[in-house]
Amino acid sequence: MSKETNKRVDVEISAAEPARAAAEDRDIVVLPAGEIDLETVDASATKEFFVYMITKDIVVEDCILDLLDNSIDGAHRSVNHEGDNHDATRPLLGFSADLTLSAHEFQINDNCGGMTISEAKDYAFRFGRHRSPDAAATDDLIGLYGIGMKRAIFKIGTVAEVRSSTNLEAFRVDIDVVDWIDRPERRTNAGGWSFPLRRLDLWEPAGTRVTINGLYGLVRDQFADESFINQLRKIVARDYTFYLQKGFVVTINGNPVEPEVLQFRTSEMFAPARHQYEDEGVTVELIAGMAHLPPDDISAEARQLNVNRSGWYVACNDRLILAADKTPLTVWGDEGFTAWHPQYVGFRGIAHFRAADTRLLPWNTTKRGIDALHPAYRRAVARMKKFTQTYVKYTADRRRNIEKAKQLELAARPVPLTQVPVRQTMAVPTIKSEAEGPVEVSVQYVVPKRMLERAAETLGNKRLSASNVGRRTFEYYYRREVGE
Amino acid sequence: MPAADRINYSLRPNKNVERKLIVETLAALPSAFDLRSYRYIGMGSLWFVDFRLVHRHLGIGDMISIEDRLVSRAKFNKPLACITVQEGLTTDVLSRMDLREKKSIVWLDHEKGPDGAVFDDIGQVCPELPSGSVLILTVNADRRSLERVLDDEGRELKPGQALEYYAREAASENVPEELDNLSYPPILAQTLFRAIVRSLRTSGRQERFWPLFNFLYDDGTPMVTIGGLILDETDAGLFKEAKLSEHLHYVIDTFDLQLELDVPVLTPREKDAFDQLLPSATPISPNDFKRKAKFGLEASRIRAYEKLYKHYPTFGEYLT
Repeated sequence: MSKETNKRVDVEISAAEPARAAAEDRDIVVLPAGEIDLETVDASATKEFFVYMITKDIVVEDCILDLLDNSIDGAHRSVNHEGDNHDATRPLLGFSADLTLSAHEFQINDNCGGMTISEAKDYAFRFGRHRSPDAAATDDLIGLYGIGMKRAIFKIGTVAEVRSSTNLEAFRVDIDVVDWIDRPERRTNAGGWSFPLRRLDLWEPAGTRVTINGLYGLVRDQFADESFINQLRKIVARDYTFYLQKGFVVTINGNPVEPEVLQFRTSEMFAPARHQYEDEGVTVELIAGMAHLPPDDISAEARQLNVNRSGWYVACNDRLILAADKTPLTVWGDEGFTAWHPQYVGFRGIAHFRAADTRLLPWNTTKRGIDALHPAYRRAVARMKKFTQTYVKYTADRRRNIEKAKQLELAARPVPLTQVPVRQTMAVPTIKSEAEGPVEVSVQYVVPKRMLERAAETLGNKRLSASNVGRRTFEYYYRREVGE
Repeated sequence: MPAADRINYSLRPNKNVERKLIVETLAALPSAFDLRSYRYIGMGSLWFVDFRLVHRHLGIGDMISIEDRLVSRAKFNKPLACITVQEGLTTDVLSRMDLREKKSIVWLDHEKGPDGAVFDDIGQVCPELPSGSVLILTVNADRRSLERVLDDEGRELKPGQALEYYAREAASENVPEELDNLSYPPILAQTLFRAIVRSLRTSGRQERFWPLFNFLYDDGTPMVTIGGLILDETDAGLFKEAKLSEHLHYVIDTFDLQLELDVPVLTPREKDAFDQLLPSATPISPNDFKRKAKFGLEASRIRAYEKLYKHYPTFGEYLT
């Protein structure tokens, strides 16, 4: 509130025209005998409200990944500034972020160059992104909205220490959330919405360390749960696979995370498509092909080994946003395109969107979801459908001569993504039906489960799959009654 | 209608006229579009009539005919060296082609209605055809293709619902449940236009669809042909300048106008007698007509012929 609201204003209101005076001057309310009264509504935000709003719609895992993003950002920035003295295929080699999670403490410690004090003052600890003076719009930053670190701290615990050192300066900021919330909120007083910062001596390697204590109950339980840690490890392995393969190291409680390596089966007959094009400031790269062998059994009961690795992967600036997607968010069932079917297990597509200006990328504000209506994304989807269609058609055609198809599929060797060459279209073999081969039809019907199990038992294997029971019972009848 | 008025279906005078109208319109497109450089994709069957017209009047030398069943006969019958016959169903063949690489005139002439491949074809071509391309679709407009369509639970759908089922997201909310052969063709045309517009939008394209044709005709089976151009802003400017709909009376500039082609069946003698009265500055009344031509025709037929007489086909037999 400004001081002016308490100002008294003496005005002469002529007795004949009180109403007009009131309309002209907003500070004046017509009241008897020259009294001034003023009510206002204080619309300034309380710190509690702010903390509540920015933490309510995000889960702890995503907060942790936000901190990881900051480290990776720092690594990219350091690489850019140091110039071209890194191995081109592993440009992030040498950079790392170590995460430790326990019921008592959370810590992330990186060697990614640290932040300057002016960055800390104007950006990292400020609410609302204030452009850091060093950052150009062309910096390859995924920490776009600047809110990640503050949100993570507020979500995870009540006490935090952030220390950071660059090659030129170092500092430390201590945050006591409860104390900070209670501090008076006078805007003119810098103490209201600020944190104390202390300069320190430099240290090496340049990097940032965030330590959070006073963990909230829910968070404490999660960090103490081994399965949560394992889940986090899997998420990092998958969503950061491209960074990890570029040399960045992430350890969780001392153990490095191994990236999930994406491969495609390649031979003379099978080759993934790899096509790159520019679209209004965004470089789009699409890779699609056969990652795993097509399944033998596609009935509903069959266990699909590779189902969690099949579908479309979508990444923005190497950060995986969608993994193994089988929904209309990518192509499946979108605008009349075929919906996902177990028959397609083994198909993998990867869509990379890269841009120097991160605002052009088709992700949403949390950077964890796709903005499906983004025009560049829609244009890419049209092409993604085309590649997918080739594979979809192949899975239908291969039934003409399944033995031959399997031979060719087995002969295709897995090749890691980094070694897949440029190819405008996906190559799949043309499977012709055998010259004398019989025309085949599919027989499908429904029977009570108990009956199936009993039949399987008498066929010698209680766990025989439905399709095999069908096949064997048909052959049984055929031999006995048709007799060929 | 007396039997003599119903011509042999295989001769199809209305379709014949439509073909000429379409080619005439395309020939009138701004020269900046440079139609000679285009590719023509059609379904020539065994007769390739449209292919011959397009080659002769538009100068196109890169032509593809999609044929599913009579492939070897089609290959035998193709009249020009610049025609390639591609085997397969339209959607499959189109999905294999790289349509982005060249501006094209695509005329998909289906025997089936919305229950066939037309919506899938739209989904194949609209994301890819570059600006300046022409898309023409001919589909069966017989309401009977909407009968006996079952939903997922085996219940028979009303015709309006059946159309929604085939058109999916392109269906309008206002389709009445009951459709007859009068109300159905315009709605079918609208649905096709909507599907094209939608496909352009959802594939992230800036280009818009500019209509040219919306024909209804019946040579034994009611058929609807819609067509238009896929244009970006620059090409749209050129197209608007040409003002085609002002010069050619059968070219539409809005989606909701449908023109019925109903060419009267005339013997060659009758045609000659009628032609001697044309062109006429004032519309010819039936009485006037009977007096001069010496045979009678209903007013509507006279009017239809007056409009289309320049394109009217004459059929003959040639000896081999």
